[in-house]
Formats: sequence, C-alpha cells, structure tokens
Amino acid sequence: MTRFLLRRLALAVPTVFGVSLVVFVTTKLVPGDPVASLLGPLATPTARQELSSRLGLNEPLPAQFFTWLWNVGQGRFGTSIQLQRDVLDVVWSAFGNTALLAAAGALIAFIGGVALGAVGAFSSRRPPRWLASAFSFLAMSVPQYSIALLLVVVLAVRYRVLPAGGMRDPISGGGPGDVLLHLVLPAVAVAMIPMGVIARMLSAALADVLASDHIDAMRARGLHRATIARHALHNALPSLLTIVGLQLAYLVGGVVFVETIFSWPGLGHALYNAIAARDLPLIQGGVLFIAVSFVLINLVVDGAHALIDPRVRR
Amino acid sequence: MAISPPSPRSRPPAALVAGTVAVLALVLVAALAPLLPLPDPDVGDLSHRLLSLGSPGHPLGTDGQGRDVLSRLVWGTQASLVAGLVPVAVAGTLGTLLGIVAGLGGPRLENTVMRGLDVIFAFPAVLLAISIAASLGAGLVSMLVALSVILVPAVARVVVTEVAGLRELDFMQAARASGARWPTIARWHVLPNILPQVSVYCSALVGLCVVLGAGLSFLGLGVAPPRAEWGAMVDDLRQHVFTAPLLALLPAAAIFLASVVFNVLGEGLRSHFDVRSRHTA
Repeated sequence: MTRFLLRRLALAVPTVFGVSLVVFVTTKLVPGDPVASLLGPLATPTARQELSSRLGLNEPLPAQFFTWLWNVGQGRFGTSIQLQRDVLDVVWSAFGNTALLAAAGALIAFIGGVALGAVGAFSSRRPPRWLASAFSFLAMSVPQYSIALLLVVVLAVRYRVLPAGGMRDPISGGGPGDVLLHLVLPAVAVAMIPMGVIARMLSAALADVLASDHIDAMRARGLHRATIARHALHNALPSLLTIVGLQLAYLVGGVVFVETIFSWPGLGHALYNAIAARDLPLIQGGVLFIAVSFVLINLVVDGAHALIDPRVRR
Repeated sequence: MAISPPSPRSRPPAALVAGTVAVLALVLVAALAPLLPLPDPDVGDLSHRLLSLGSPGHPLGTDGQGRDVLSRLVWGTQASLVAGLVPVAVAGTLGTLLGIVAGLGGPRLENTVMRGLDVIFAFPAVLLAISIAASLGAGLVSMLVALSVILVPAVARVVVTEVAGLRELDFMQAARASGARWPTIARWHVLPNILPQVSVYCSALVGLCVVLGAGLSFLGLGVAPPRAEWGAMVDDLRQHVFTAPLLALLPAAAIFLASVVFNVLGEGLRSHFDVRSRHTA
C-alpha cells in the first residue's frame, strides 16, 4: 500500500509540471506584443529594449518558463490587473468558499447518484426503474447555468423559500445556519450532472454484477434481497470510484457558472469577473491553482480506490 | 468497447429515431432562420423593453434592449450547432490521427502520448477552455479552438485503446509480415475497424460541446455580443431575473433541449451499434 501511494505520488510530479507548462503556454497565446501594449506606440526602441529585457522576454522560451515556474513555486503568481492585489492572495481567500460549495455538491451528487442508480438496478417494478433512468439521463444533460437559473426563478424569486444569492445574509451577517441556507441551491445546481452520470454508471455496473454467477448462487441459497443488494453494491462500488475523479473535475468546472449566477464569493465568481476585466494573471493563476489542487484530489481518490479494492494495489 | 454491426432486420431503437428527427428539426430551424417572418434579432426598440410573454408582435417577449426574444432564440440555433459540431469534427479528426500514430508507433511513443494526455485530463475541462479562450481573446474562433483542444485527449484515448485491441490480431500481423508500412496499415486496416466506435463516441460529445460552448458565451468568451447566442442571452437576461423571471429561462431551456436532443441521438447510436463504453466523460 505504501509503495502504491509513493508511486502515485511520484507520477503526480510530472503531471503538475505538465499542468504548469500548459498554463505557461496559454500565457504565450495572448495575441499582440506585451511590450508594445505596456509602452504604447510612441515608445523609443531603447525603451522597448530595456523593458523587454527587464520582463525577461529576450530570454529563450524554456528559460522564461523556468523563471516563471520558479516564481510560481514560491507563490509569486503576479498581480491582478483589475484588483491590484496579489493573485495568490485573491485566489486563496476565494478558495475556501469554492471548496465548501464543491464538497457539498460532491456529497449531494454521490448520495443522490447512488440512490438513483440503486433504484434503477434493484427495483422489481418497471415505473420506478424507468423514472430513475429518465431522471438521471435528464440530470446528466442539464447545463449547470440552466438548472441554477431555474432554481433561482422558482425557489428564490417566485416562492422565496431560499435566498437567491450571496453566501450570508447581508443584514444579519449570518452564522453557520445562514451559510447552509445559502449553500443549498448552488450545491444542488453543481451536483446535477455528476449525479446523473454516477447514477447511470452505477446502474450499468450493478446490472453486470446482478447477472453474474455468484449472485445467482446467493439467490439459490435463499438469501434475503437486501443482503444480495449489499453484496452487489460492494462489487459495483470500485468501478464507480474510477469515474468519481473525472466527475469531480466536471463538478469543479461547473462551479464557475453556478457561483456566477448565485454570486457565491468563490474562485468561479472571481474568474468570471477576471474574464470581464481581461485580467489574465488572475485567470491563469486561478486555473493553475485549481488544476494543481485537482491533481492532489485525484491522488486521494486513487488512495481510497486502493483502500477498498486490493486489485489496484499492484 | 466492442461493436457488432446491427443485423439488417433489427429495428433501430426509438432513441435513435427520436434523436435523428429532433436533430434534423434543429438543423432546419437554423437553416430557415433567415426565411422566417421574424423581426431583426439584433435590432431592438427601447420603448418596448422587457415585454412579457404573449405580447402582441412578440410572442416570447423582448429583452432588456427591446429585441424580440423568439427571433433571437431562432437565430441562436445557428451558433449553437456550430459550437456543438465543429469542435467535435476537428477534435475527432485530430484525436483519431494522434491516437493511431500513438497506437502504432510502439510502446515508447504510446507511453509518451498517453502521459501527455493525462496532463490535459488533470484540468477540469471547462477551466482549460476558459484559460485558452481568454488568452486568445473572446470570439467565435477562439471558442472553437478552445473546445477542440479540450476534446482531443478524450478522443485520442479512446482511439489508442481501440488500436491496442486490434494490434495483435491476425490480419494486422499478416499485414506487417507482408511488408506493409504503417501509413498503409493505418489507412486500410486500422481506420475502417475503429471508425464506427470512434464516431459513436464522438456523437456523444456533441451535447456536451453545445453546453460548454454556450457556457463560454455566457462567460463572455464566445460569440460576440450583438449576435444572437443562447449562452450570451442567459447572461444578459439573468440581470432582469427579478423583473422578468420567465424570460431568462427561455434560452436556458433552449440549451438544455439541444443538449438532451444530441444526447438522445448519441444514446440511440450507441445502443443501435451495441457499443459498450465506459468512457462517458
């Protein structure tokens, strides 16, 4: 187990390196000459020369990359153009809120997905099975911003059951209960697609397991249906874990839209504002930060997978 | 993934029929937009701002600049189809090429390519698309480039798996033994054998791509503002959600509908050709 984890950790290093390389390349995609846009058209050639050497733009690209990586590695992501604040500072203060939303969304997606998938596979009557599969298909297809808007219109604007946006009550300031109230709608919105995918995957995996010989043997021995279901679930869960990582990625991507619609003060909302202001250092800093934290999450998922399924610990 | 050709007498599944009809209907709406008797989608009358549904002359109301919402929804179909189909076609071609080269080029090349793809997979796709589109500058072309880039790894991974399954089969060995070079093998032995699976897989990506494309426009990174586009309409109309709550739901519902339609078609194709896949991303 330790060896497995160490090898995984060793594999994560080149991935993080590659992720940084990709983000660096996107910084180089920006059209136009950065020196010209900083100095304006009337700058003298000497001034241009001086600025571009000061920015390190005369160095060959690989050297520029390693300088950039060295700075990023020490937390120097640059300064946000729009907010005039250190990028890491902005990203870090928003990160906690996004993590809270993503965790709540993941929890709903997992519980809802497993429940829907189990109904789809175990129910002996047709209507519930059909409903579960239709619902998970629709959930899988619904864009995060559409469902978020629907929730706002119906539950916040029309019936005023839950708050339409923000994270805390603006007047009372709100305690944990208030935050929870504000969390419900955005968390449901980000959970929708992963929930649908998890339900469909689990349903298919359970159908495979239920058709296997050892389940027939259990039935023949007259075991209770609940016992058989427990065994089948245990067999189907590992194949589910392999897609949970991917689904988490999808969930985190959807956070951008949902946070924007609900004005949730997280990374996604910050990114939306950064895009509107063409604040590239903040966009790239935010994307790099999420991608790297994502590699770490996948590491944890792999560890959990190895913990419950000895076959992957090779 | 295994595939078996449908027996000629088996009836196509209902999902395939329904999906095909619905997609054709979408294409028809997009193609006929200029011919329909609709007001100009880009020109608004500021004295008729935010009319509600069912107003005379504006059956689906008007937006914050007094533009006809029905007309904008109809015209927006074009942008949506482009955002869904073009990146999938581009990524399908590039991903297939990359996958075949990696799959036939020996274990070393295969490993290098797969590790490279893993790096792209480490990004949440939406964020990578945002990063690319934001760097290239907002616009239709950068949106299409961004969406294509994030889809290539997914397609290439499926192709590599498919090629790996073919590599050691007898006819491949026979081809190699007869001295065929790899481009010949790729063109005449590999491509025809993987094309059905890869097309079915790609068809499943169209719905996702429609959603992501509209999402990028929602964020202000896609189709430029005056042009009618569903994602941009959602972002525009949600500002008025307290005064005209139903209006904002219309484009949101249109994107959902398009996504469902393409997913039904993809699902229909998958079950018709009996492709078993665990790659549903």
